[in-house]
Amino acid sequence: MPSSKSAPSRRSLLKWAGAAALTAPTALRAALTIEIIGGSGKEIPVTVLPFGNQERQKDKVSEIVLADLLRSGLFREQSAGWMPQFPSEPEQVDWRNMRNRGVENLVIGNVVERSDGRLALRFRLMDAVKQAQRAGLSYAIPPSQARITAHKIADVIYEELTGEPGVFATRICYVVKNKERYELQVADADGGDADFILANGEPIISPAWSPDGNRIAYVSFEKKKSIVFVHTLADGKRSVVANFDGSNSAPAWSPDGQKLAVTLSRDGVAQIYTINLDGSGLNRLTTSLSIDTEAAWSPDGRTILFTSDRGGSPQIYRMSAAGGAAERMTFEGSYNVTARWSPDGKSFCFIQRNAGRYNVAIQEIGSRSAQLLTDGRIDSSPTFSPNGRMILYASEFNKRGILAAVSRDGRIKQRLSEASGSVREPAWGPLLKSR
Amino acid sequence: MKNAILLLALAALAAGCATQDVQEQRKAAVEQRDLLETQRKSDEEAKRAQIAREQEELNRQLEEQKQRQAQMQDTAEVKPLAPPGGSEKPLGDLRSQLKDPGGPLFKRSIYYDYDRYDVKEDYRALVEAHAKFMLDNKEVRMRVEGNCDERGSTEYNLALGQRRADGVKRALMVLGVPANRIEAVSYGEEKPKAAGQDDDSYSENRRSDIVYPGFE
Repeated sequence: MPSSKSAPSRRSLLKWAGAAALTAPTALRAALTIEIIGGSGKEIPVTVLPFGNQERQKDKVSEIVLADLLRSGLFREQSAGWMPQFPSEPEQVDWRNMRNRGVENLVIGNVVERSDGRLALRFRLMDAVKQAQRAGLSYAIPPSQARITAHKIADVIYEELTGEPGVFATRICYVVKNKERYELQVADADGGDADFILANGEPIISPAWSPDGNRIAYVSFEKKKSIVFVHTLADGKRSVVANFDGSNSAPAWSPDGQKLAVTLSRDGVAQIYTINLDGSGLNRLTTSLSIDTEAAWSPDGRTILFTSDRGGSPQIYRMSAAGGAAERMTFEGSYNVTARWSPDGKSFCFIQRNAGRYNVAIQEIGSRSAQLLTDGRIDSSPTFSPNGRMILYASEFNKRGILAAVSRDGRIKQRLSEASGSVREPAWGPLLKSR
Repeated sequence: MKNAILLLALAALAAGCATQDVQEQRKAAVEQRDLLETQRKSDEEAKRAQIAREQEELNRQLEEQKQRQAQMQDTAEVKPLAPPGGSEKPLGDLRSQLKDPGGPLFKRSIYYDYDRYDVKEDYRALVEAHAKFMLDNKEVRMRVEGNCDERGSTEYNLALGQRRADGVKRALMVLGVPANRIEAVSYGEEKPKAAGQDDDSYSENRRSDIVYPGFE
């Protein structure tokens, strides 16, 4: 077996040093825009009135809240009609008018600029039929946090009305390819506040969020080969986790955030290993003569789903997180790859080839049959929202790479696209207690 | 440090507000916004500065590489003066061998079927020619870059591209080229040569390329 210590020669270094250079940020990133293609069919009516005094702010909180709720596909806007002045407190609400208009769930609030420069932001979710409050919070925030606070408000309303956690205040990351420039970008789940954390003249793939949302592991080709890095978002510092001979790729965080599963080809063919974040403690998990890659830890950390072509075609397998014997999970079709666990650990999504198309499918653990969710030509890189309701994935539209999302029942579809460039390799960050 | 100054400034503003009339308070609010804006701008500047530093570091490395390269070229230029019988040839000679469209080294790409990585019999002559070149020129190093078409999993394709590159490397090793002079890497589906979405483009992209760093 080859075990050479061949670092790239100096001459090849010369070639990449220029190409891989980071470049200064140009303008602000163009935000992803989102288009909703389908709905759930039984949307919850919601009425979000403009918050008092918000017209003086750059970010209009009530508009962001409403857009979040509608984008989920689970809500429809119920108009309260024209009114001379929008109420921001319950006692200002004309309840009879609300009843006549069929308003059920009413959101009101206001924004006050405090003398210390902060914004006092408050909202109430009212049951308009019972004229009773269902949720209400007040915040004191710097103006720069108006947008994220709006997402948090949307999360509270979403959870109150659907019973499951909202994910509007979570973040996503993805790679934008624009000509020969690759950017790893981080954005709010609605595509807002997008900014890049890494820019390269060489490809970046397979970003993966740490369970605490503070770091992202990814594969960068900036040294003319694949190397696994871990990047801390707060200070932009990063370190090499795996840089062995051959390919170093497919980082997956253990649920405790202590180590990564990675795919290395150092021992002859792509196999799965675990490695500590400082590059120590390398431990081989699979021992096959086939490609084993794309490890995904179950939420309880006990088992790992992965892709292997040991049976002659790439399929999803499951093994103990300590390695050892593997059990085949997918049986339909000759190409099933990129498994990702649902957050409840009861099912997994993956990419399945069907009649020449590559689509997102979902399968219950313990079942042998999958449900196809998408119908693009080449869909890839599925990633669950942290509440398990949506699956974000890479697709294409008008021959450009875009991100799309589909609900786990396949009924709600969204399309996200950037103004320029090709978007790919999405990863949805975790649910955060606070940001 | 920056934050401390900002806090002090805010505290001063807040203290001042108590005795100011409404108009002055408004003015103070504007100033606060300006301060926050300044803060945001200085954060942006810090980020730019960091990127600039990284750029500088890369430029420095680039400069170092250039110097080393220049030194190596100097060395290469004195080589023809070495005693006759030495096996090493001037770099220019090797370059022209590699670039000769009629020569055996001009072809550098090995193509594959879908989801396959075996080096087909058709490429025996190509691999043998490059093995001979490597054996004849012991100072030369080679990269084999494995590639895939865009369909399917990014990561599975990366592994498949590595298998393709490793397969070429093994074939060269069987022919006597030492492992430590060949670097096999994979670009997976990241560097397609043909941009189309048809079978011809896909075939063109399922490929291993032999690259001679410094001789291209």
